[in-house]
Parts: sequence; structure tokens; C-alpha cells
Amino acid sequence: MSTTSPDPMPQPMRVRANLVNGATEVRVLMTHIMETGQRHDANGQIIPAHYITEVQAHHVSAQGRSRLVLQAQWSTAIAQNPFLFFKFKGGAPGDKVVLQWVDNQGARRTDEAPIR
Amino acid sequence: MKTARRSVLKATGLTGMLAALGLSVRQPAFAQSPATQGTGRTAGFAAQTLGDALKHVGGGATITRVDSSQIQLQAPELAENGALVPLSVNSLIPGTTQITLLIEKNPFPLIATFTFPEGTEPSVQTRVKMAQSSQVLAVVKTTQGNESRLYVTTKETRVTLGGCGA
Repeated sequence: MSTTSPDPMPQPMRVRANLVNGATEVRVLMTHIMETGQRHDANGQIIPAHYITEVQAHHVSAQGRSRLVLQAQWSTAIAQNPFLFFKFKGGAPGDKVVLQWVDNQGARRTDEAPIR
Repeated sequence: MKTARRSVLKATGLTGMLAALGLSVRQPAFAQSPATQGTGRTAGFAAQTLGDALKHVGGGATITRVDSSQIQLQAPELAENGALVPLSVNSLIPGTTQITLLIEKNPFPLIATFTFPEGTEPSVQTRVKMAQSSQVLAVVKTTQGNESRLYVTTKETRVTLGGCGA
């Protein structure tokens, strides 16, 4: 999976937020190479680390009030195309969950999903 | 007019880029944290031994070992592909605010820290890379008032094909 071409733009996350028994279950699939910085390319050069360093999730109510529901700090050892599942109490249809990540090269991505 | 410009922006991908820069409509600001402020992440991520990593996680405080009745750590007994090992942690300890994952024999044992604000269940699932067969550790931090406590549980996972790269 090595590449020497310029990094593409941050790809969208797939976010699903479902209300189950009074709690919102959130599933996220991110697209990111999560390069460890330990692999070598065909010329023996180290492929630089490129990985999501921080993730945040906010629950935004239908009225627009936002609260942080998850924060994570990651290393290169989170698998490529990271998967994340977590849940928080509350949430209602019409609300949304907003996911954000930033990587070690300064790229960012924000995606959201309605709570169903 | 607006529509034409919007369709041009969409075509060139600028909309996506603006969104990625956080300039879209009324998105919550990325909450301030050392990582986003660039003042340095937890030094534990640079630790190359489990002992050092745990020192950073715990700040030197005692970490109490507990079993699955307190922290439910699910890790496969055998992982065919070390590049994609599913892990699940659910803390049953009241007052849990943080879960940290470590893999003993990874080149950098500190894998991830998840922080749970009030109202979020102290529970997370993700997938990690394991370099080789190793202990997987879940450290739970509880905060009650001013007091923080640390607990850990471990599981052994065997890996047939290591996942950190050649």
C-alpha cells in the first residue's frame, strides 16, 4: 500500500448514529492510510508516518447545542481505514453526531450523521 | 449565479477542501487539546517499552490489576492478520473517564487513549496493528472529584502475520 505520489485530499468518513434503548450508538469508518513510518519503499527509503492523531465527536442537538461526546488520541498502530464504535446516553432523531479528525500532517476532516 | 459557482466549486473539490479546513457551516470547533494546539501529544506515544509507556499513562501512580468482571477487554486469541486486530473494551468501573490501549510488544506500545465525557459510555471498539504475538492491555482511569485511579486488565493475543510493516 505504499505510495510516493502526493497525498490525496482527506476522504470522507462514513458515520452512522442509531438510537438504541435510549443511547446513541455511533459507528465510524474513516479512510486513512495510517502509515506507521516504519515501512520502506522500493528504494529502501522510509515512508514517512502519516496517521490520524486525534479524533473528536460532538453531539449536536436539533436546537444547535453542541457537546463533546468522545475524544481520542491515536498512534500509528490504529489500523488503516480506522473503525470506531462508541455510544453515549441520550440523543434524539433530528440531532446529529459530528466527527472530526486531524492527522500528523495537518490534514483535517469533519463529517456528520443524523441520529436515526 | 450561486448555483453555477457552487457546481464549479464541487467540480474542483474546493467545497470538500473548505469543509476539511473546518470552514463549513456551524460545525463545532475542534475542542482545544494539546494535540490540536501542537504543544505536543502525550509523551507516552514516543515510549518504546511498555514500562515507559505505562509510566506516562499513569504518571507514576499505582495501576491496580483487575479481571474481566471490572474491565471487559475483548481481543482475539489468534489474529490471522496483525495489521487488523479488532479490540473492544468496556469498563464496568464507576467513574471511568478514560481508556488507554497498549500492546506490549509493539515498537511503540501506547496505542490510543479514549476520553469519555459525562454521559458517554466508557466503552469503545476499534482495530489495531500488532507487530507480533503479545499482551494487549486496557488501562482504565476513573475520576471521582479530585481523585484519579488506574486499573488494568490484559489479554494475550497470538499473531500469525505481524502488522507493523517491513
